[in-house]
Amino acid sequence: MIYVDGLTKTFGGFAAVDGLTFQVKDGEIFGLLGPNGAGKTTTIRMLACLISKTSGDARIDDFSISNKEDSFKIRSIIGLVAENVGLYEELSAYKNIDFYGKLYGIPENQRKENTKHLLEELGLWGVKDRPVGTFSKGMKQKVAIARALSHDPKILFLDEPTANLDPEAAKVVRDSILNLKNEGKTIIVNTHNLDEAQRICNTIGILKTKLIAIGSPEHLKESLQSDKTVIDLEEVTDRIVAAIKAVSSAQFEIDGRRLVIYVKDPQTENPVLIKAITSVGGNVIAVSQVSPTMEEVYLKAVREKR
Amino acid sequence: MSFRNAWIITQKEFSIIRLRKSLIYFYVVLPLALSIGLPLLVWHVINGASIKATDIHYISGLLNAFEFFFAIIAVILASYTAAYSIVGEKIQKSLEPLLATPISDGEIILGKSLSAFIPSFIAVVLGNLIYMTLMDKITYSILGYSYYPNLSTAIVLLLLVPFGIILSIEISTMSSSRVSDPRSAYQLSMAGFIPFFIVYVLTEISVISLTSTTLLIIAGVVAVADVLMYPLVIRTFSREMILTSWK
Ligand SMILES: Nc1ncnc2c1ncn2[C@@H]1O[C@H](COP(=O)(O)OP(=O)(O)O)[C@@H](O)[C@H]1O
Ligand SMILES: [Mg+2]
Repeated sequence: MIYVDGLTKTFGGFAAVDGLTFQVKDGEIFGLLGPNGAGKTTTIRMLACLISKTSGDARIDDFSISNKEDSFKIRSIIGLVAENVGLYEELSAYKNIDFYGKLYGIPENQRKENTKHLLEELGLWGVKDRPVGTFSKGMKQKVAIARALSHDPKILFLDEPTANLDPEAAKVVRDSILNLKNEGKTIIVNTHNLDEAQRICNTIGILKTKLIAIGSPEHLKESLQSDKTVIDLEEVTDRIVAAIKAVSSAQFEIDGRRLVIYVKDPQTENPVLIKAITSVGGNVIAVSQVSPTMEEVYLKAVREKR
Repeated sequence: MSFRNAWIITQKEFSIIRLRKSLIYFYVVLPLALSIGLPLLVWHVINGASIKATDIHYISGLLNAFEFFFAIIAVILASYTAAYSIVGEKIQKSLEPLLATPISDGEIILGKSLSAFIPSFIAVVLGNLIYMTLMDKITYSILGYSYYPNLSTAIVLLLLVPFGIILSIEISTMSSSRVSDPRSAYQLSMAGFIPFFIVYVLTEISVISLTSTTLLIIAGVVAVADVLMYPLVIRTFSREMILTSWK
């Protein structure tokens, strides 16, 4: 269990993270979602006892990040995949992982077994002796994940593990995160990708220095949804606009021959909208649904906060 | 502080040093250049002219100054290794995950220091042994006794070289935190070499002579500098500083 209580970090007078409070249950994936500079990395660094907090506290199991003795215990039960993979490029994948196993004090036999198992699971056993400098970004990220697992930690901190990866590599990494969840690991993952957060997290916290919203993806979707229905027409007439206003109170924008309508529930609202448009002689060329981007949900969350 | 943890770091550094050809080359060529080059030079001087009594005095003075060269290459090798090791981590951004393991800042700095200390010390001692053997062979006929080993050698190898290496590692660490390519770290840390160079120039222009007493004093000054620098290094190499203030 991870308890975060009023966790705050200031640099000079500037608050990078301000009063975070949340809990992560065992076996859960918690996503910290926020744009660049939101304080995601700073939060994970405080939790991993890499930097000190300014105020507040966090407890990981029964250990407090504020206590120096505890900080060693915390670091021995967590694994960190930092924003930058931070591998030793000249060394082989095997050596990179084995080095960490040694640091965690894993006996040699078990280390060998663990390393083999991890590399096999991630499909890297065949290239275990190649210097990681020769690996693709996706492979490096997998080695970084394997390395963070070298001591079979209960808790994993992943700082934007799929940023900078191509979609295919990102999927592989996401799948391995889900596997880890199935193995019962507790995971905090930083991301600026809403879609990713929705797909893998049990709980999402939207962060912008402060925690703006928190909840399950479904919960957030309901409370923050701003799906867009985009309707391309032959022509946008006043009659069409009036017809839409008559059946829906949704916000909408006109962009040339395109209507952008902010709907809450596309399933029920879209047919009504289309019917209204065609009933006044509108010719619909195309209808598409645009899921909210992280930014839109995030902006909405900020607006609601005010 | 666990020595075991520090040693794990040292071993990791060794396996990287082994892969860096330029570094290995440096470790072999620098000491060998001195241990073979200097005796050859003396041999050339001796063979070229008839030797007078004043020359004998001159030669033994020269030999003392030569000994000092070994302290200088020790400093160069150690700075170079330490700068590469720290800036290397910095470029690869490998310090953050490393600091997230249950290892202390002190263990990391000790492990890295050992990985610079051990090879540079060994290289200099081995080079010096070769040097002493060759030099004795060449100068015996003129001096009438084996010049090496002597008290000065002992002071240089056992005090000045190790203290000098420690100082250069400390300076390298400090400068590595401010730059992000190994070359500039190495150049910055060459600042540690300037005092040695000044001492050398002073002997050349006969302001001081490198007697055992002078060498002992220099070693003492370097040791004091080691101690004074230590808290600064520990402060610079703290996890908070590394992650929040290093450029
Ligand atoms: N060492 C530091 N000194 C000063 N400001 C910092 C430092 N580290 C981070 N910040 C600031 O704190 C804020 C949060 O940064 P960060 O945690 O890296 O955000 P994220 O990971 O969400 O992109 C940013 O505005 C950043 O500029
Ligand atoms: Mg970040």
